[in-house]
Amino acid sequence: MDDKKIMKDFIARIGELNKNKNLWIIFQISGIAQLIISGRHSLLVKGGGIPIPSLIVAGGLIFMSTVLYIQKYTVMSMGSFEKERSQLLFLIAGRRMADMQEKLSDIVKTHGFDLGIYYGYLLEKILIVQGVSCSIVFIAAMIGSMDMKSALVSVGMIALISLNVWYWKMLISGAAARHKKGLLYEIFYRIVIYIEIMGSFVLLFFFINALSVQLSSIIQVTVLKNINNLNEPVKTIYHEGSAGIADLLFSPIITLLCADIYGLFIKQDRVKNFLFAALCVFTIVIAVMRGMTISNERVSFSENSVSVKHDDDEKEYGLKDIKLYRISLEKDYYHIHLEFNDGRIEEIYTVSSVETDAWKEKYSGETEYFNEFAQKLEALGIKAGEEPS
Amino acid sequence: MITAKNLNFNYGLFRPKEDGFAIKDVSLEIKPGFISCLLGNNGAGKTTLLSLLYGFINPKSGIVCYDGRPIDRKNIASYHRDVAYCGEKWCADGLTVEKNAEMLSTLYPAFSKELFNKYMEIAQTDRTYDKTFGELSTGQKVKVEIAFLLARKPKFILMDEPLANVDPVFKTDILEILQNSVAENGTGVFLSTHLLDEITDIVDYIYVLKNGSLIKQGSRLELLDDGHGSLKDIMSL
Repeated sequence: MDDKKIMKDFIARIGELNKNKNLWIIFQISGIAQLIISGRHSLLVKGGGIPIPSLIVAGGLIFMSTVLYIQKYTVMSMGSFEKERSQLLFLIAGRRMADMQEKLSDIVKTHGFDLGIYYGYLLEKILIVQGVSCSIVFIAAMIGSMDMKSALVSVGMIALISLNVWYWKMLISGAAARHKKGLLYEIFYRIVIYIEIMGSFVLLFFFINALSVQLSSIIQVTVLKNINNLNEPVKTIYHEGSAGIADLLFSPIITLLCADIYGLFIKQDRVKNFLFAALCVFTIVIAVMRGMTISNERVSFSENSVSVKHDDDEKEYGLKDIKLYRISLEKDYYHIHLEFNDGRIEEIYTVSSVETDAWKEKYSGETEYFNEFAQKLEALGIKAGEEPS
Repeated sequence: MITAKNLNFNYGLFRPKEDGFAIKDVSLEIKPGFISCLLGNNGAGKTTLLSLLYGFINPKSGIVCYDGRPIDRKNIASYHRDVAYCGEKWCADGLTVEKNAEMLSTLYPAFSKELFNKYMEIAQTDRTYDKTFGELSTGQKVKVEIAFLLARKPKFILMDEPLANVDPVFKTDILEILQNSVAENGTGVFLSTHLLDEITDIVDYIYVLKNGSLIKQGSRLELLDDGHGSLKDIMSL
């Protein structure tokens, strides 16, 4: 039997032993979803191109997915039979559960194991997974969910990240398997591990943030289509304060999860599963909260009207319905104070807003728009209010 | 045949002083069908030499050859398939004995489950199949390891103090098993030990290591007939 057949059988056996290690799927799906949703949102709002922060988050998710997928074939963990009893024994003994994960490279040092062939088969598996992911991205582009340029950038990023992760993991495993652990190896290895650990903290945090924003943008885009004629210049300002609080509440869960992935804390499957379930629930909750803010709390400025919505209370005002206005520039956003003839008073801050394509074509920015808005009001004889003392 | 020629090795990045080498100018041969023994006190360099012979570490100078070919990255996998090593981590502590054997036997087409079961029975570890390897006692671990590596029918076996943590009854059994393996399969065995008495009856060839250098080598009869009287005298040279 030749070496290739032996290694092929061996990798299949390792995959069978680690068949429950499927956390990588969640990261992979999240990364692809991030790319597609960001692409779709950008296509509708800005005409195309995935924003850099979204690319970074998606890249991080693909990175984590590849790392975890490779771990499925290079790290041994306990089988289900032993888990409950031995976990309890180790907990009582005070040992970290992370001690129960063993690297395959440490085990196969004394065996007829061909690292090059093994990692070759591992690369084949990675290429299949990423091939499916790239196909999904291209299908999304073909059905108009994202522009082709964004699709190509996404595919390139997926390929670059997954191939690099595979390559450097192979180098590290090879050095470990051959006992070539000199000083430089140790330094390099530590740096890579710390980057992975810190990266997972940061990336998961941004992932939750970005995923919830992107999920909410589905609602946002739907709302925009429903309430706005996209051919008109409309600027819709909405309030996101509630989502920020959810993010703060969320951070400890993300931190614990990231630490858990790297075995920094004692692992218990139930706790981990609970945390992950909470993560998913909170993601959806935040997304809904963010989405609801634009659907239920917004002020839309058109060329000759202002629409105000607070939950079920929705009303459109013409410019002449405005009794008094005040526009001031805060740090990097505008504060608009509007008093209407029917007694309504609105305080609007342009921190979070979306604009239609027509608005972006007509106006170079908020300054130009609000200058024109003020001029229209002045032309109608509406007074500009004084700054409160 | 495994041959080592003029091996030199030191730990650390820089070349040490003359007496700082862990292994100094060592040459030896391990022939199939013979049991060779590496004798030495603690710190003599036995484990280092075995690591060099197996390919765990590379010598600073000198060469290790297998059937006349130097061992390198291209052929080390097939070398490790023919040459077994006893004394280093070899399986997953978190998996059961049975699952470890199933997993690792995939690497050896010649692995015989019947032989493995037979040796496990001889070693009285046949009730440990469902236990995780990490749960076994030190002696049980050695027994299971030896059962596995014999079942994979290697051409050579390198053993680093295999008798150190084994009960006296099984010491006799393992030495008998090794002798049988040598006689029936032509296996070449190279084991290190400082337990002199246990191996004198079975060993064919002896290498004596002191401070990283081979100070004596020869067949058991040659060394004993050399006027030293006993191996203990040789060790104290």
